Amino acid sequence: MLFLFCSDFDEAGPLIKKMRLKKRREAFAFQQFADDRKEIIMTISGRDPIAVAACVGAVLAKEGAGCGDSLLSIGTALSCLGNGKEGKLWVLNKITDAYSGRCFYPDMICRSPFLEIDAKSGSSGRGSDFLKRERLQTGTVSEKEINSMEDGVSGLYDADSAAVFQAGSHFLAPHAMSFLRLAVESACIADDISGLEKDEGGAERKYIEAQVEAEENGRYDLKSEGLLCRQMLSHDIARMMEACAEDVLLYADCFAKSCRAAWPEYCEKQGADNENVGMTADDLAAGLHCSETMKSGLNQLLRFANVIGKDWRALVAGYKAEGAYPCRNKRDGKIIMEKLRKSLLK
Amino acid sequence: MLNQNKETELTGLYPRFSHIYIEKELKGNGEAERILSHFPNAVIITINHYKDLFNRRRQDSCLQHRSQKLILAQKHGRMLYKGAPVCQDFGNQYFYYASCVMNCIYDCEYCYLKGMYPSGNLVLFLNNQDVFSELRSMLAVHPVYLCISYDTDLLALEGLTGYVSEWAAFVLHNPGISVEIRTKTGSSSFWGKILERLDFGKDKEAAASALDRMIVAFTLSPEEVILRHEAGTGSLLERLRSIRAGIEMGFRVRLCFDPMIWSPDWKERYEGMIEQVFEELPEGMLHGIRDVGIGSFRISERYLKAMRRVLPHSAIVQYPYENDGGYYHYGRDLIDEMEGYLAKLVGKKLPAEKIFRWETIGDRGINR
Repeated sequence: MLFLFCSDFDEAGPLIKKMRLKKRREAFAFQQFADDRKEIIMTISGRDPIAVAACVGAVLAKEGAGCGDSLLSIGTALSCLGNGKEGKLWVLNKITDAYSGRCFYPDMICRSPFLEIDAKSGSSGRGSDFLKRERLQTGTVSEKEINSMEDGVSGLYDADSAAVFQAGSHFLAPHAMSFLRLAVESACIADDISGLEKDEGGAERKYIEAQVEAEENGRYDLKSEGLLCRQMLSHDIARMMEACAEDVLLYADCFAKSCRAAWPEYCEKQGADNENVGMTADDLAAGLHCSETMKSGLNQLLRFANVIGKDWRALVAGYKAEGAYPCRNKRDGKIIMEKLRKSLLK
Repeated sequence: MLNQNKETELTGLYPRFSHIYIEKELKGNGEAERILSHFPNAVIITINHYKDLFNRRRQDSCLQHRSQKLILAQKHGRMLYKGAPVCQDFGNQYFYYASCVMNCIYDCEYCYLKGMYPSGNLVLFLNNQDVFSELRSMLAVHPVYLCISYDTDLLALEGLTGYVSEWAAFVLHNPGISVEIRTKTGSSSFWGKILERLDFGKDKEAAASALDRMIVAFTLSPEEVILRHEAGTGSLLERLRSIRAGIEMGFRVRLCFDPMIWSPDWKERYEGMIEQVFEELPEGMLHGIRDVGIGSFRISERYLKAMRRVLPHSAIVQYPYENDGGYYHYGRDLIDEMEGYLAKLVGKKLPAEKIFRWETIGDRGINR
């Protein structure tokens, strides 16, 4: 199964639409959307790291995530400067938790067409370090201060990737988690409204609309309310996500396939074992009066027989025809087990 | 954002060393820069400590091996370890091994590294000088027989690291040490490089002594085993030709028929292999065979347990071995039959004192 996580509906909306996911009706703490075949589940996690970790843990535990499954976290992240990162999708190859300093590394095994970058992750929505770096350009922060705080992170700043990785790693391997981030300008959600000047048309219109609306409601201090910032971000994110939705879906599909392909035989085998075709290992162990130690040895012997394609059930059927199986006691069981062992290792 | 042929771009895994992780302390280090220069297109990712990456939970080491990443790191703490009971010491009292590289570029199905390490990525330690320093202290007390290619195949990486040449130089200046370099390479180019470092032009006697203490040990398996279970390694013929080249240059080479792998037709396979070995290494070259190691597959309980999880379809790994003091091996009768048979075949060409067999002695679980 492919587990998609987005922070809010602005990020998820275009993907939900493209993938034709349907809202899940069953009661759950987080809003979810799934495809008809129940192979893809999109969950809206919220943005706060604690909520995100709770969401990822709850979803993966509820769905019994394990081998062959994959997790794709899609969202936005602040870009530190107007350096060309904005508006592009990036794959995170290193995530640094802003609080603990711990680093997490998703395995970069599955090919991706997107450029890679590292990210710092914390709940400071404004990515203060990054803004400070921006201010370096204007001379309000010294270079020394910047160097001491950045700790080698040169890429993006987001709220949730560290939380997703930490919660997800309890269920999934590091190769089965991938993080796509759409870089947005830090100015978009800063107090400074100068970023608006960069956006011709849409954002400016939104700003004016918001201003008018605010004035009508008797609220004038747009900056301190953060209304402007949210509206602008929401508008831009939805638009940008829509533009790259197709690429994201294609990547998601290939990523999920790669994760499934990594374990095909194992998953198939698990399926086959669960089918209970004829006599099971447990049945045989009971018929041999196995102790726990004997049972463990027997299981390994049968596993080996399955791997090399020898039909142990046919051998047991032979013992049955001879009247030697089921055994009367553990001692007879040991004799039959040794006989079986010799036949299988011939 | 995506270019043309999106599907093609996305399909599959990244090639080996597409990403290189480097400890931040090594940034700007000359040796690190030299290695990075081999991979101009690699994505470089700075890390604090190699264990942050290498020791993560739930890694799929087999999958990682298919898209192996390189980690450049510095080793701290102990540099030399006592030889493990499952390893042959070839009669050496002070038997140690060093781990300059963790993991291997070859992908042998039965390799204990799959059970020993949580990751399939390759860690290259760049502070060899610290190993040499610890070794000098040890050599001041007693001679040392050191295996440097247990947790990797150093010769397979020689083009990248040059470590074997560095060791040759160390052996030349330290008469108390003998170094074993175990390999499955099919390459012959490294012999000349070792000779260069031994510098016969300067002090012939010291160089000859060093040459004798640089023990290149080839693991030899039947071609069927190589094809099915030793991915990426040199073919039997390539290995034998490399051995031949080494002997012609004056090296005395060790042959390791270890691990012997059971299959229903193991006898024919190993008989065929021995025939090929002595066809390629005829009478006139046998003086260049230092000794022969013979051992059937055995592995520590802990490693096998881990390997059984990640290799559910491997007949070698899933074989119902016998557990003896924490080590899994074939049944005693089968060990005697397999190792005895091969020893007998080799014994027709080489004297018995040159043939070493791994076997447990009493309850100590050691080898001889």
